[in-house]
Formats: sequence, structure tokens, C-alpha cells
Amino acid sequence: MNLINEASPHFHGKDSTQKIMGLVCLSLVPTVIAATVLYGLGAPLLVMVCIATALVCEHLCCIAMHRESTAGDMSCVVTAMLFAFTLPANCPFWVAVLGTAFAVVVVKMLFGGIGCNIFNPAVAARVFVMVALPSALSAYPDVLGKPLDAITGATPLAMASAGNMPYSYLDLLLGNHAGALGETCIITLLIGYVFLLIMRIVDGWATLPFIGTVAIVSLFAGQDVVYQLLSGGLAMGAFFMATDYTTTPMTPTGKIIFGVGCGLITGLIRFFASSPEGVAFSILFMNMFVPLIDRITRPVPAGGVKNALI
Amino acid sequence: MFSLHKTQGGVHPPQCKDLREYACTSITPPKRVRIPLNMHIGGPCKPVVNPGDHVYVGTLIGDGSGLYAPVHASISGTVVSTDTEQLPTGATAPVVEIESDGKMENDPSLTVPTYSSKEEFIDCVRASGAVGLGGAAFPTWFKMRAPQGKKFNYLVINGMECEPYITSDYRQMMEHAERVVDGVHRIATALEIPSAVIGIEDNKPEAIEKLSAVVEEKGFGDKLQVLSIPTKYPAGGEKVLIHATTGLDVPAGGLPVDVGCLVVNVTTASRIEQYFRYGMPLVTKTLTLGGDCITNPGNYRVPIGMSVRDIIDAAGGLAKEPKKIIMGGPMMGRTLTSIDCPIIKANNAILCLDDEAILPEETPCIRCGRCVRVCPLGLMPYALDSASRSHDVVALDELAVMNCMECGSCAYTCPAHRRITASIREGKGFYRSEVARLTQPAKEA
Repeated sequence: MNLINEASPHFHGKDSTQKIMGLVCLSLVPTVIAATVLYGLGAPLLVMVCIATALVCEHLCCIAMHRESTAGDMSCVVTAMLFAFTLPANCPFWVAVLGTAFAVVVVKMLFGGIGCNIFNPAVAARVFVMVALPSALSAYPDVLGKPLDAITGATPLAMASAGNMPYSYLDLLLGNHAGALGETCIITLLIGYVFLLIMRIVDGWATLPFIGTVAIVSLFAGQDVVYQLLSGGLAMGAFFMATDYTTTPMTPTGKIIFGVGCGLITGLIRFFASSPEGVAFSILFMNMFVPLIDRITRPVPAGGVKNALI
Repeated sequence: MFSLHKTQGGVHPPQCKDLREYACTSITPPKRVRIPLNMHIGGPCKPVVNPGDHVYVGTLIGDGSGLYAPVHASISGTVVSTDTEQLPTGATAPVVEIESDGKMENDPSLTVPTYSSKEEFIDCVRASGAVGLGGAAFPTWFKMRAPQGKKFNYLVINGMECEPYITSDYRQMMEHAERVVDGVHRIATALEIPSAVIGIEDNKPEAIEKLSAVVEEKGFGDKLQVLSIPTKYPAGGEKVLIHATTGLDVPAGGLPVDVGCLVVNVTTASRIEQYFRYGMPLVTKTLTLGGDCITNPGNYRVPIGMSVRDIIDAAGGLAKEPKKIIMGGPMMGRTLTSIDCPIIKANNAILCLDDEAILPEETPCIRCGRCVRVCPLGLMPYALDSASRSHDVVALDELAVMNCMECGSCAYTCPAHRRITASIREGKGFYRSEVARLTQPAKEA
């Protein structure tokens, strides 16, 4: 009789990293569909290019690092989709490829791969592209069917910071305006987020304080609160990037601190700095503090701690 | 008296308690038993019989001193050997091997014990050979002695049986409800504990009903209460149960007595009562023989020291070859590498599992935080895992590694399938040896 000898527990829950990441990908699909409707077939094509690049990069990195390939765990697909969402639908493919490669190779794999990265790869790549290739992201295409001269319309946030708010709340909710392909349609992003909440993959500990803090800062800055919440990358950042496992704190208290920090920095950048949008920077900034936040919010074990060494 | 307190964390593994309605049956006694003398926490006993001696059921065969529980023969016959051997647990201890004479005669010198003081009662409990039968195997008499200046305010009886598959405590409560209640009452009275509670998971409503009825019938309601506790693994962990029933937390590095609690397993209480009624010490054990690979699964009463092979054979053998045999439940049990090892006092299940016990391969931690959410003691398992693997003794100290009770909830829930519990277990061993090394006074040059 050949018996397996191993340590307990011998039962295992049914979830796996692959399943979780697969569900996150699924939650992003409605937004891809919305982007296709809004901006045409260029949008899904760009998403595909990013996904393919991410899979190839992760696999090659694993080969170079002499590890078993982690490309199959789908986490790089999530990164690729989220990064693609931050691009304009007419973004040149080479920019998308470069950005995705940066996300996977530099931000994720060089820090040790899944679970080890400090910064959110999609956000970091987005900022990298914005800083390194500003011309590629300067013009956002407007939705299909608008007159030709509107093809390079400014985003609602850019207009708002110039004191101009031409869109109705409904337009903003539906994404019926110029913008990055996955950031505009708040409805589908919300559907995806609620799906993840129901599946208990994510929680609201960071998301709600993030959005709440932006609302409060908008109020104090004398801005139209609803307009601020519905435009820019806030929904995507709060729903999908502030809930990333690896780059956010572990405990509810830590997540609240993270969310409030993100909200504050987003507000400060939106209203008091030269850039119209601050979600990406705020997330990256708060990513840096995650180890510290985790440390100061460590729960006290039941029965306390009896230290022998310190 | 007692009310339910909310406990943190926990998981909901499949319960697999299909054998709950299988009445406990006796098994054909084996031709030979091998009884290890270290079936308890503490130092192993020394054999008090020699090869060639004749023993009866209940004859004392191993005795010791300090923290120990005496060991008795479980069949009548002739002692074959008392050699020291290495056991499947890795420990070495004397093993008394007895060849049966086929008569199963009780020792004629056994008498019904009597006591007139707390100390005498505790001595009787020691003589009964009772240990924590839920799996911990801590000598029961030893924990009944409250240290100087401390006293027991609560007697907490553990009838939770939160491990999947195992139904031996359930059968004990259903078949010997009256004995269980009397046992609890006897312990509480003898040790002058003002109130007692029997905690039972709410997935066993029949047991709750039955014990409540017996308590009422006997008029023990003023000091003994049956409490239904929500089903959640590991609600039957000692510290978790104390919190659920009294709201108190055992301090780190402390014992239940530090919060005035004495925790006794429901079967232990029943077996102690059995000793006081009939004088027969602990020589048999009820265990759940389960899993897909068993032809006739059920709850069986077996002599201690009977080999797993003999038990499986006597119960009708294997339906198919198991991939894993677990002694105990699937969450905390130990795998067997050989089925020739004997049953000890604390065993309450043998599970012969097929594919359901194959664990998926380990992948990197994704910091999802589920282990932190499910830890019943509020620890940070993912951080303990990494500190254990990197042998970071300071981090292990800060993260309170010794608080961990190795319940397995973190590893159960981990989507990266990390062997968190196994790694923390190793971390505890490493931590213990490092602390001993670092805190010992410097040797003089």
C-alpha cells in the first residue's frame, strides 16, 4: 500500500488563485463590451493585444528566472485588462505592448512575481506610459457617431478643471464621452465590482473610504461632487485597483487607511495640482505605505502576545 | 448562566458526518495488541509487567510519575514483550505487546473506587488512565489540580466534535447521555466547580435535545447547562470553546485555569463516570472508521493497542486501496505510513481516503488576506508562514507563533494552497529551540 504522508490539514477549500483571477477577468468583460459599443472594435483589439503581451512576457520571465511558469494563473491577464482600460481606444499597438511589458516584466516579475510586487502593475504601467510617451495618450477619441471634429475630445475631468461641464450625469454613468476605453462606463464597472463583492472576492473596506474621501474633498473644494465621482479613473481605481490583493493592506483597518489616503491624494491632485487626474498617482503613492500600514494595523491575537525575545 | 459569545474566524469544511446514525458496535477482539506507554502528553510510563506475565483486561501495565497517565491491558493474555520502539509519531517509548488468551477476562482485583475528598477524587481519575479523548491526550487528573491561588469557576465540557467525519463523541452523547450528564455532574461536584456547561455544535440537535432532557430529568439544571453553539470549524478548539461559552480569552502562554476554566471532552467525562461506576479503567476506545475506501464504515469500540490493520480487517476490510490513511480528522489528523500501528487512547477516527485528500500543489501567496480573516485566534498566518520559512525568530516572536493551535483553517482556505499550518508547525519547533538557545545564561568561559 502506497500511502501519502503529509501534514494536516488534509482537506482543502475549492478556491484557487486561477479561479479568483478568472472571476476578476469575468467581472471586467461587461466593460470590454461597453467599450466596444462606445469606441468601436479598436477597443477589444487593444485589450487582446495587451493580454497576449502579458502572457508572453510572464512566461518568458519565468523561463529566464528558472521557475515554473505562472502565466496560467491568470493574474497577468487581469493586469493586462486593467492596463488596457486606461488607454484610449486609438492608442497605437506598440504603446500598448510596451506598457504591458513594463507592467509585467519590470513592476511585477522583477520584484519577484505574483504576490511580491509593491506597486500595482497596471497603474504603474499607466503612469510610465503617461510620463514616457505623453503624445500617445494626449488625445482621447470620442464615442462613435459623434461629429468628426469631436474625435479628439478632451475628457470630462480635463474640461471640468477648465470650468466646463458639458456632460449630464447620465452621460457620465454610461460613459458617453471621450476617455480611456475602460474607465468611462461606470455602470459596467459597477456591475463587475458588485459581481466580485457577491462572489466574496473583494470587499468594500478600501473602496468606500476612497470614494467617500474624494466626495468630501470635492465638497470642500467647491466642486460638483457627483460629477467628480463619475468621471476620470476613480471608479476603476476604487473598484479594481484599491481592491488588488497584493498591493493593498490585509486588515479592514489597514484598508480603510489605504482608501482614505488614496481619496485624499486624488482630491489634492485633482483640485490643487496641475494634472486633472490623480487616481493613478494616489494608488501608487499609497502602495508604498502598504507594508507600514500592515505593520501598524496588525490585529492583537486573542489572549494577547507573550514575547520571549523582545 | 452561560450565554453564547461570538468567536472570530473559522471555516466551513464539508462535514461528512454520514456515520452519525451508525450505532457504536464492538469488534472481534484481536489476537494481539501492542500498547505504547506514551499515549499521553508527558513522559512515557515504565512497564510494570514482564514478558511471560499473565494480564487481565484492566490490569495495570504501565505506571509513571510527574505528568503521566497510567496504562492498562486491553485484552487478557500473556505479555510477549515490553521493548522500547520507535512509534509512527517519531517518538520512542516502551510498547507492551500482549497475546490474547481469547477469554477477555476482567481483572478480578478491580474494584469500584470511592473517594471522600477532592484529592482522592483526582487520584481516582489518575488511576482510571483518563486523558483528553478529544485528541489532545493531556492527562485529565493533572489539569484537575488547580495551581496554588487559582480555582475553577467553570467546567466546560467539549461536545463540539467540529472535525469533519468524526462521530464518536456524538455516538457517546446519544448512547450514553445519562452517563455523560452524571459524569459532568460528578466532576463539577467533586472539584467544587459552581457551574458547568456542555457545548455542542448546532449540527447535532438530537444530542443537544437528549442531554438537555437528561439534565432536566435529573434536576441538575441549576448548575449544569447544555449550550448550542453555531457550527463552525474549529469551534471545538479549547480556547475557542472557552471564548464561546464564557467570553474569556486564555492569555498567551497560559492555561484554561488562568481564566478559571476546566475543559473536559464529553467522552472523557463519560469514561470517567464509567470508571466510578464499574471500576474499569480506560481500555477501549470508540472510533469512527470512515472514508470512501472502507467496506463497512461505522463507529466501532476497539481495545486500545489493536492495530489499524486488524481493525480494518475486523470491520470488513478495504473496498479499494486508500491514497491516504488519517488517524483523527482531516483538519488536524496525522497520516499513517503503515497500517500496522496501534490505536492509542486519543484516537477517535481512522479515515481511509481516496482522491478527496489529495492536496493541490502549492503556489505563491497572493496576499488575499483570507488566512487572516479565518484565523480563530486573530493571528497573521501568511506572515507566520513566511517568517517560519525564512527562520526569522524575531518575527515569529512578534507575531505570537506559539499562540497558534494548528487548527488548519488558514491552509484550508488558502487559494494558493500554501501549507501554512505545516510551515507554522515547523516554525514553532524552530522558535522553541531558538528561544531556549538565546535565553539560556551564557556559559562561563
